[in-house]
Amino acid sequence: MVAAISLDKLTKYYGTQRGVIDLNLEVPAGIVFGYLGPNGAGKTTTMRILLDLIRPTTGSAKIFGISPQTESVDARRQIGYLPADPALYENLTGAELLTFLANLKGGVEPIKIKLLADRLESDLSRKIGTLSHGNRQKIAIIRAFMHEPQLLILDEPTNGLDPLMQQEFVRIVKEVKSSGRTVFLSSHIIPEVEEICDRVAVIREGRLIAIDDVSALKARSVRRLQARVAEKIPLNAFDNIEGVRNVVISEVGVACDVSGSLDQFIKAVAKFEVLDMNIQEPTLEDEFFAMYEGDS
Amino acid sequence: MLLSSVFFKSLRDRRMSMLFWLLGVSLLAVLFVSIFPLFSENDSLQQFADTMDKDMIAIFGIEELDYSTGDGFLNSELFGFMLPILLIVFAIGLGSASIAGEEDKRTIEILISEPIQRSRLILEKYAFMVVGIGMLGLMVWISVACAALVFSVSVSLVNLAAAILSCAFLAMVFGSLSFGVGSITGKRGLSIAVGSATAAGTFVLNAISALVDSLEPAKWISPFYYYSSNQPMMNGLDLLHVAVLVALCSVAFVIGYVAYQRRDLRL
Repeated sequence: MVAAISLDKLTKYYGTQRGVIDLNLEVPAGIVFGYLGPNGAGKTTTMRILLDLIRPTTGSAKIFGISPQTESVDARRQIGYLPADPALYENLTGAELLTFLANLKGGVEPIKIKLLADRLESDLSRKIGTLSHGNRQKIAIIRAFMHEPQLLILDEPTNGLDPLMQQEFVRIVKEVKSSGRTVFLSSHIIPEVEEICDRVAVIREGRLIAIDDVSALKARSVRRLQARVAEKIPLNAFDNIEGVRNVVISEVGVACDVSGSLDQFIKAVAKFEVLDMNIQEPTLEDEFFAMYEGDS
Repeated sequence: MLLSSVFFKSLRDRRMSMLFWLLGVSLLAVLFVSIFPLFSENDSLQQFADTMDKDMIAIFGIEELDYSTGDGFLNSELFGFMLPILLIVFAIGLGSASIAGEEDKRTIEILISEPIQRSRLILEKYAFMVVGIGMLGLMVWISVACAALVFSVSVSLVNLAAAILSCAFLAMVFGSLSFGVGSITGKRGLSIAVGSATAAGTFVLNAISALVDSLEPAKWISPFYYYSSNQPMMNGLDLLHVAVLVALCSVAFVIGYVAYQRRDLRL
């Protein structure tokens, strides 16, 4: 099956300023793909090239095998796009804006707009100029989803939404995925990424530094373990065990960070009488902090 | 209906401003026709006009102030300065708002991420500018024609059309320049500045070329020369001069069009 997005040595410079460098990426159809990285890493640049708002310096991008640069209209027909901090026509009401944009797409059934507006509790009768940031974001979200595109490109989609609306948004994304369509989103909210993404890529200073399944990253991620032990543990008991770091041995037990499989550590600690054990949920947060900051 | 395309949405966005402009040019036209009888019945005004320095009035592209006929009066009063300035201001405003305006307000990002070609967008925006100027021109023609009837002023409606058409194309030159600069750079302020500065500069150039013999050839590069030198209100349409104005519009549009296809949008 043709990939929803494929980037081939995609490079973009703004004059001498770095945008993205030599990106190679395949986003298979039918998954939710997270695109992560610190501000200014090149996430928005990549998305804008996919929409043909800006042109690559070298390399190429494809949407379902279609080039946004040479067949821009055909490519954009496949896409629902949510820009970061979208600017909307302030003199229109939400309903008018969505009608206008739906007309440019070739028409959208009004019921689909209404259903999304109801779910997001969006008041479409008000002039956009009078709306708060979060309420504008809702209209921009409706606009991206309303025509049920094959590919959603969402740049920090939950920006400005309250927690209830964030949850509703997550449900909508999951529905899109279960209907076999593809979502490519950038986000700063790691728990959200963990919840909805199947696979993620991390970009830093314009270069891709990691692409992996969320489950694999989770398996690799660091967990804090604490074991309460009835007997005294020798200070060297956990030396030379792979993935174990920051070991603190005390009178009552042991605490440490474990990355990857817990098996070796569990077997080592099982040599003692274990009274209690506490394993923190694995989180991607630390993993991403490490990658963002680039302790290379 | 008004939200069906970029063209019609532009119309919708500007419906109030368009209304006031139409009202404004209409009032202006009616005013000038209505005061003509005061001038034609008053010999002292014509005598005063005759004393005016020929060089002074040449600045406005007028050969002589003729207050004895309706055509002559409109030629010097309406078409000498007021109408061209108004239409130029309108055209520059519209031209700069078209492409650069969307980028200034950053709304271009949601607009162009719809399945609409850049070429289609720029054509619809330009078409709206042309239609907008055309509507003002038509309004002037209708207003003068009606007022001429009401105030019993004899006006050649064919020459009136010729003068309005020339004036509209003059305005469109500067509108197209602003439109083109906006399409190339995406900067609205810059496109207004270039359009206005060029209008003011070439106006002065045309005026000076009429006063200073050694600068006489400079008139060829001023759009105002192609508008006013033939006095279309007196002599009818000069097709060659109109063709030059149309060519200038086309050049500005085509350069903007090509640049807009190639460049990164300003977001």
